Amino acid sequence: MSELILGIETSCDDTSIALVDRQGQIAAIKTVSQFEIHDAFGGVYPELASRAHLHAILPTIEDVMKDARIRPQDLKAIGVTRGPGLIGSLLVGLSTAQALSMGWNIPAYGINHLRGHLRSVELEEGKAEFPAVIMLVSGGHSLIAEMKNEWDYRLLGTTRDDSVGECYDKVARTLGFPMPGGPAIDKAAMRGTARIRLPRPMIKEGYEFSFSGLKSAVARHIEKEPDQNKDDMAAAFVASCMDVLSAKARRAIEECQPKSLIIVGGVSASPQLRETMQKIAQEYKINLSLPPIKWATDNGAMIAMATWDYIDRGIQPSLEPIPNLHLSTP
Amino acid sequence: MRNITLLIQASHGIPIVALAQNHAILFDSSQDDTLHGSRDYRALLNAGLHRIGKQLEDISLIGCDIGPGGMGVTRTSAAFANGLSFACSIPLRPIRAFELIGAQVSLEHKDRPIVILRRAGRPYVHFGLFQAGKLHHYEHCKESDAIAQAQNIPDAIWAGNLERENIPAPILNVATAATMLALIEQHAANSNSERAYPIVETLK
Ligand SMILES: [Zn+2]
Repeated sequence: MSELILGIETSCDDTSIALVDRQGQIAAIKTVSQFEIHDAFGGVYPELASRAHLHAILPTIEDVMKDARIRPQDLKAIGVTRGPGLIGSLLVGLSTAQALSMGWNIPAYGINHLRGHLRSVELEEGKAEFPAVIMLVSGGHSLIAEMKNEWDYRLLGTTRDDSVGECYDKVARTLGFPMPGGPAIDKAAMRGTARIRLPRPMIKEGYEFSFSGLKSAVARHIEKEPDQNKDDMAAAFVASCMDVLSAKARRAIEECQPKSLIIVGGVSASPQLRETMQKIAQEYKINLSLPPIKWATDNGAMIAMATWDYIDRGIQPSLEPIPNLHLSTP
Repeated sequence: MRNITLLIQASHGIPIVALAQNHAILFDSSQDDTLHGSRDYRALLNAGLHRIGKQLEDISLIGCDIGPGGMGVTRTSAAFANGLSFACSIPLRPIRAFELIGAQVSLEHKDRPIVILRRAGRPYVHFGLFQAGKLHHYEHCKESDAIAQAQNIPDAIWAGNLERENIPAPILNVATAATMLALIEQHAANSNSERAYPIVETLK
């Protein structure tokens, strides 16, 4: 049997545990969603999140080990998210990992969640080609970077305010769509037509994103004309997001001349984004790598996948939680 | 031989890791200036095992304080205790902080009721009444309601961490490792898969 990493992801509102080998093959994975717990609050409630992690984490680890018929001695290491994320949630994962590491006598690595996302594209579907331009678009993060190989990168830009996914959720709420907002917006946008022209924030300059103005523009339109077609509004919003994201992607491809364009994070599940990026990749004759939709959102497999890179490079970060951990710190 | 008891008490804010054998405390991290204040449970436990010349495999029971109290610190210690219990198949016994404090205070004030008040998110507190060797009452309620109730209990001793004008100063907020050991030993063993889940207030 090939060696496996136990990946633990508890940075936000899902308890996700996975067993992953060096090639990115997933021996078992289970994710316990807290969606119903937080839905009533209109967002993630940190105290409830960490409480739910504490209840879910060991049964989930047990299930995953049973599914894969793995004994602790078959594990190479434990990889656990140490940030960025909610402190209480991170602590549950980290303290559990610390105890398991001690009890099973295997090393535990504190893993940067962002590195997990960057590596999610390798899960199951094999190798991304480097150098690559990578765009991470999710509810928690938005960034664009040049990746020279699976580890070395150059950050091109991040968001100045809301992340793309956050903006999707907030606009969905403004339009009265159910949560999770992303898929609701995607569907509505497909039904509607982008009749209204919304702003394209920072489309002309650099690699930084700023989506909060776009979100406010939607709110203003709805306030002025509460009866206007919600589907059309969603279509206008998505069109604006796609224009901004593709402008940044094109700029990065022209500058970095990569072999592939990689899109990761929850928003990469958006059919409009997939289509837009497919066109760009074809136009520049480079590969497009998208993680399977199920690995686009936060999951334990991507954390386990990233752990292999830490092992290969002899980097063993502490199990200290860092809620605002930056990509530059392993 | 597996006969070491691991005790973890943290809901008062500073984790204490202790090790005991045959009803006696052999190691207590709160008595060691170099360890006191550390939140690294693995380091605390390793230091303790090393100090008493024992291995992880010698631990046969884990006692873990489940608060109420500092939520982050209690949840962290519970996660560690649960993880160790799971990884090494060591039975775990959760214990309520107010039982620990009550038992500690009653060592010196055997016949008096003990009021325990711990801060919670304002304007709430955790309020407990320990009497005749037992925790009689616990609730998470408004500070003013708790104090009104407590002031009606004649001859009470006050414990916890709520320091306010016009109420008696609390005499202590944490139990000794020896008290915790005595309580853990009294507790009936439940199933081997028992876990520690911190006592948390209902969200209001
Ligand atoms: Zn994420």
